[in-house]
Amino acid sequence: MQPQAGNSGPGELESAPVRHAIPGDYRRLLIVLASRAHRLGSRDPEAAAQEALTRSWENTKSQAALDFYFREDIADDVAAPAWSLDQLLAWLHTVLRYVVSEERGRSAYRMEVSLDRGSDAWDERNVSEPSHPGADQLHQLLQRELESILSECFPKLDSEYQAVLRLRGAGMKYDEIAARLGQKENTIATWLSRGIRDLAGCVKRRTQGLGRNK
Amino acid sequence: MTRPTQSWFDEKLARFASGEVTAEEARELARASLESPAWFEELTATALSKAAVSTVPVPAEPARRGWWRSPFLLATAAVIVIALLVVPYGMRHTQKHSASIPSVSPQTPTTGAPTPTLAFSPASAQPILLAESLQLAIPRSTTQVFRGDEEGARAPRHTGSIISVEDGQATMNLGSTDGLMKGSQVEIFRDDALKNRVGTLRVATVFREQARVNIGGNDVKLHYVVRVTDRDHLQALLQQADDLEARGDLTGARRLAEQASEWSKPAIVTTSQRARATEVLARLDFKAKDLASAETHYRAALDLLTTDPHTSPDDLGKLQSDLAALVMLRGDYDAADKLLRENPSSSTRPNLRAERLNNLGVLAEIHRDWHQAESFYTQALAILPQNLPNERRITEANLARVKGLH
Repeated sequence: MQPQAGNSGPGELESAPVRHAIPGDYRRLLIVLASRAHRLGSRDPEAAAQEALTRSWENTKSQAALDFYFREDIADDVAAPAWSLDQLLAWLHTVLRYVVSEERGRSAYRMEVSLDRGSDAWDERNVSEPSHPGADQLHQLLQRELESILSECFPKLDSEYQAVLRLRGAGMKYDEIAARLGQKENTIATWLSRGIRDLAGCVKRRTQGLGRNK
Repeated sequence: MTRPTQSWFDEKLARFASGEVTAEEARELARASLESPAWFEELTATALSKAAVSTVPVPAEPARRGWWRSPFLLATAAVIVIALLVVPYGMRHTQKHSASIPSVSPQTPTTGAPTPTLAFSPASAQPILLAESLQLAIPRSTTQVFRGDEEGARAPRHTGSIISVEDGQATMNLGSTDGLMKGSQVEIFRDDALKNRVGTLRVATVFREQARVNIGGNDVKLHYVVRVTDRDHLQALLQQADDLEARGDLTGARRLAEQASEWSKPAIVTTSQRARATEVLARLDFKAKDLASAETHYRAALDLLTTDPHTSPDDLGKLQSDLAALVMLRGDYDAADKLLRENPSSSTRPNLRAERLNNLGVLAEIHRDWHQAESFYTQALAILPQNLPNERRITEANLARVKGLH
């Protein structure tokens, strides 16, 4: 499957503005994105994946990161992008989730939206139509998603992992955290890795829950 | 690139989670994740977790949820900057209102419940235990072994032989001379079956691998058999376990200590000496991070000591203190409480009394009784000798931290 972002294929949003075709080979990325879209509750996962990739491409920082991390027909010596892999994947997740919500919202003919309401901003009833969210809006959605992840998942972590992640989040280095907690740096690295992995486990369960709730 | 395996992916993902990969390695991981939707899902969930921790103020406690959700109104970049500036202040502020709320302040616990540690840090966020035998940072007070680091040190033997007789002295070979000292008693036999006894002699000189006894008027000849007392042989075994440990051969040291402990059971030694052998094994278990075995052996040693009416309060107190520290490290605070309260406070050694008080302070801290903890630490510091600077620093750090909590 080749990305055909500029064409009107199955599932292409009627209201989406004219797009530029994405150069490069992202076939395998589209397959895994489609799988994620399915998990998130999309009825047309391939179209959702294609739409998400196209919208991601429209952000210049995302573009460079997509090229570096996922484009398959690019030289290995291309310069590292401004975005880390974390940022790119979080961004892709946000755009994909928005696209899936949009798809569901369109199906339900529920067009009212208010992103600053207290309810879940991702609820399809709250996704605007016609809509092509700007970067700011997507950044806000991403921010809310990250906040939700922390509020739901962080309290479930072991206390040691919470401590390390809290200090790391405050910008401390390994040696500083080690000194603060009276542990070896290797222990801190292990706790940090396990803390993130446990958090990721919770994120995965949450994603599965999102798909089931749709 | 060859097709990545699950173990390769897991290893890379773990390093990615702890932020240890370069951009190129991240790219390698990203491309590998395309091999399977499950891998991509795993990587995305990990990336979201990392992004959440690094860009959103991490919640300090549930009640603060309303506060930290408000940055929704701000752009992402502004949130990052504000988070770095505001979170440390916010956490310090929160700490004044509730002792039960963790904080990142240098001298306050950073987790929901204080976790005892043996590691010393001047600004430790966790209560630090005092346990002479377990404190890896504090040199043990065992006898210094003035011996080379050679691997080929000979194993001590229970019996040996006379290898020369000259000028009224007999030189004997007992393998290692560990455990022997001037004045130690040895028995001399004419036969290997140890039936025909010559007598008991005292060691006059101890060399590196041999020892000499004064013959006096006894009939001692070449190749006669020498037997050291059970007590000295047990001491020799334990000393060699110490040597192996000092050379970094922890496995060998544990094996030897285990042999010594087993050997001591039928041997003619005191209960305290038998307990000592088991205690050495327990300490080596602990050093090998086998905490369950360490607890089993410490408890076995304690059982032996408590049945011996001649046990000194110091020996008992030291063992109870070490075991209490160990069970606290294992999270069994009720058992620790029981042990510390049983621990005789009448020990003649002030450092043992201080150890007990410090660890009672740790226990109070775990129960969030800051006033009680401060009281225990203060008492401990008052009796800790000035010539124990490491111990004093630990208790001082505990006291400084707990003073900031109420």
